[in-house]
Amino acid sequence: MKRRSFLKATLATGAASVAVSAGLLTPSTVLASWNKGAFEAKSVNDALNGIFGASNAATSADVKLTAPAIAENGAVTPVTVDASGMSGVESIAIIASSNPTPLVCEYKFQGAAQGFVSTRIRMGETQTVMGVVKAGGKLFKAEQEVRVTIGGCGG
Amino acid sequence: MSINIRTRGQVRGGVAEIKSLIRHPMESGARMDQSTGRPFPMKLITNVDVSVNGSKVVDAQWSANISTNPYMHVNVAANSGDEVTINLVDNTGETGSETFKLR
Repeated sequence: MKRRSFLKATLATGAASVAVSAGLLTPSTVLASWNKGAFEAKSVNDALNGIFGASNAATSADVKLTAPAIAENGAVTPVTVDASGMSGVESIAIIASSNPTPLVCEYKFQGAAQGFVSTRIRMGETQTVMGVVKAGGKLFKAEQEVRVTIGGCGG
Repeated sequence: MSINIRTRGQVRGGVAEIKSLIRHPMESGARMDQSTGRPFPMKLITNVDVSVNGSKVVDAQWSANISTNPYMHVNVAANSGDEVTINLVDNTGETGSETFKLR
């Protein structure tokens, strides 16, 4: 009798620990859709290759990048990339070229979405900000230098 | 606890301007806590998506280069009354979701 209940108990705990480890796995499964390689890349080319599979973006007047010429506070720099004038925009990435990891964000568009993104980014120092647009399988970009008076990456 | 999202969606000329303000530290995991000498633990929103009437239109990935309390503005061709849902998740598995109707 004792042996039987002992077995039952061990089996139950075994099942429970499997469930727990399965539960613990959820965050990493969610993270699986995060392009770790591209976001941890230290150079602009590596970041672009990681996210688009290519880095040869052509400068285009149809990509409109709006950013301040002088950012008083690098921790909150408003940046807008507007490519709604282009057709077939698949995705937009924002790059802060001199940040420790340059890739800021990547937006993929489907259906009724327009090729437009506006957000606020951190900038450690004066540098070039790039808006890179993938449209019709090709890469287009616009860039602008932003002077930063107070960096936004440190404490 | 779920991540707090404040949203606004207004339709102008057939295009909905979907704006959201999210309360989140966006901690990179590299910033040092001067009082302990150890880095603040990473807490970062990694994935954000926007759906209109149940179909996904925007799928975004973020990094620590996005400011604390992130602001996001995207444009989607839609009509007033359409239902917009914004979903997001951070690296600790914490999620946030907000559904609202376009004005």
